[in-house]
Amino acid sequence: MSRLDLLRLSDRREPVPHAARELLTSEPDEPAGKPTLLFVGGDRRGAQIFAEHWLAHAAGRGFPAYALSVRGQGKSAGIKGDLRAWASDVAQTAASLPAQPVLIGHSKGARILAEALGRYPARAAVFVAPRLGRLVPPTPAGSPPTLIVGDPDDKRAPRQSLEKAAAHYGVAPLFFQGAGHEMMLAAAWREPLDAILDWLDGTVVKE
Amino acid sequence: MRQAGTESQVSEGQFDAYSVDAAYDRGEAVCVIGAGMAGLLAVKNLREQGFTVDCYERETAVGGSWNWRHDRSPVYSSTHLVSSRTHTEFPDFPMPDDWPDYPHHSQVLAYLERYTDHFGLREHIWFGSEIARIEPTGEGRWDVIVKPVSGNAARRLRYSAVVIANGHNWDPRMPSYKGQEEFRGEIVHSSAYKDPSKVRGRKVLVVGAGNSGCDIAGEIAVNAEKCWHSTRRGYWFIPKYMFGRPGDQTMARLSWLPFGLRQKVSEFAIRRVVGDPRRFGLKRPEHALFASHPIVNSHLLHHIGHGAITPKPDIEYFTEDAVHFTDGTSVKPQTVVMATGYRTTFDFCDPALLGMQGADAAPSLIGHMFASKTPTLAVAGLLQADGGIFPLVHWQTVAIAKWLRLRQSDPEAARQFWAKVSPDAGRRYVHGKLNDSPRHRLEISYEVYLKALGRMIEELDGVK
Repeated sequence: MSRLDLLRLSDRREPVPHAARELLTSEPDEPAGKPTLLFVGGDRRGAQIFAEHWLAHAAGRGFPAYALSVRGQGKSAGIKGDLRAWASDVAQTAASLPAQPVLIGHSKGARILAEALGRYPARAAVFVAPRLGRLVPPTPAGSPPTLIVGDPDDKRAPRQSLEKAAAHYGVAPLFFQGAGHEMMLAAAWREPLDAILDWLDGTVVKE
Repeated sequence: MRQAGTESQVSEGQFDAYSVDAAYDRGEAVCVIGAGMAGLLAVKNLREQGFTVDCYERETAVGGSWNWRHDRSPVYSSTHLVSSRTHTEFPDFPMPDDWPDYPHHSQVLAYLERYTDHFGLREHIWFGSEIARIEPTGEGRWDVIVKPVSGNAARRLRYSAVVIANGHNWDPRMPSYKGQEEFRGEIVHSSAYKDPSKVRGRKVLVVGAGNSGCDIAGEIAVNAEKCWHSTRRGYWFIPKYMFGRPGDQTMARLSWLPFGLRQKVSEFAIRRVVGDPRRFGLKRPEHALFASHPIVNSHLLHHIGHGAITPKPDIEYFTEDAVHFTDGTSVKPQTVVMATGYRTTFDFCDPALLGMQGADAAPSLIGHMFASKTPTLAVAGLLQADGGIFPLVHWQTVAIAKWLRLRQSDPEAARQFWAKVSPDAGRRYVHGKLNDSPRHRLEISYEVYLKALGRMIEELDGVK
């Protein structure tokens, strides 16, 4: 873990300015007392890729589900930003939800998630096919339970990078052979999501 | 009514009964006193470390000082933050980024209420409950005597630790000048001043040049018939905006400079931008900038320049209808508003527990948090800083929670940590020269303090 930075001078000198953020929602019909989920994607499509299957399915299982397009993505595509701004978009959105959400980041969105975890204590964190690059993730606020999910044959988030991310957070990765990189859009989209939700049921929902 | 059974052990009016009663043991639970900003942070961060928490709040809602609905709140209708939004928000729960640079006090309360609900803290708070007494039991545990604000059915509970977060802006410090009792006009403390409608058309003297004194003087200036402002010393007035940004952001941009140089550059900039206070009939500041927490105020000099406020020196004495100042002048106000600050009061425990010696002394704590003789007693939020204090108190409560956790999980590491930090009791976390009067004993520099807190937290985390 990197050293603690309590001073956060970059934010004290030059706060990230406000930007309109696109937030897609799928609420369960009946409140089931399950934690809220907030999905973050890694490319220009932003929230859209989660709206295809995952949001509705999660809501169907009782999890209020949200997907965010940070600046530069989806409907917020016109606004420029950097990793600090994207992480701020995630923290701002997480803090605006009625209850502490579980943060889920996919591909390069996992990088944004890792950065955001330094400034928001997620209920739990899930990295899906994470591409963290050379990022040394900050110490997560509030040490949330963490899950790493991926396809060991995925070229973009290969086995060794999944294992590296898992080692960093001190957990074991969960492999889905053949799920592909964009598993939320694949034919077998249901399997990895159900595994994530089962894990949340076991870790976070307990009481 | 559900509790009638347990409470019946203590019969009405028999106030001493609880001292002989057996304590209800809450096991490893931690007691937090107060559900204001510091108390809420303590509850959330202790919960995050896995503790069961019972928080007791005198009022019926969260927010402490910021809860303007109750009579102990110091806020007045126009209170705004004096540190900018991003210097004030909690590090792990940002204020909405579409809020203004300097949010209004009602937004701060809304923010604290959102924090409470977002992290599900409400279920751990007992409202309308006052702490009558806390007593160490001897084995590092605490007996806490809780009584409802209305009624005296006290209960004795036993906790593994106590975090005091009762605030220090609720017990008015009223000065006593010669002849003050004979004065026939109205004398109120600033805590009782809520909105300018009461002073409309009146002649008002405001005493004190803290942030609230200057704010209130500015507000009264545009509403009252006449406003005088009595100040004892010279002060630095930092404008709310400098070079197009909130002043604290501009200052943070200079933080790459060594402190002494930064001080000189800032003093120069303020003299150039704001001007020489003596031109306005005020005293020149005797201390260097940042040696005492600065007054962040853009409109005081503006109102003096427009004749809406007449500056006056310190008060010498009162007569029946007039106030006489040290320069020999006198005025005849109808209302005197004493913006003379607040006392630090812990009426529920022996002051010696917190290293306080004498009546008006400040506590002497390790890192402004830990009572040096009783490692399971901590204080959160007892600070005055040259910047927003919310983030400081967040990290304080993180350190407190991690310390209490370490004591349970690794007693040996805890012993080493305690041996290392113990000599720091009463240490001051300020740059360079400091203003060592008792009322400045709570003052810290946020940069120096955050660095020290960071090291302390890393040590608790076991980072070598």
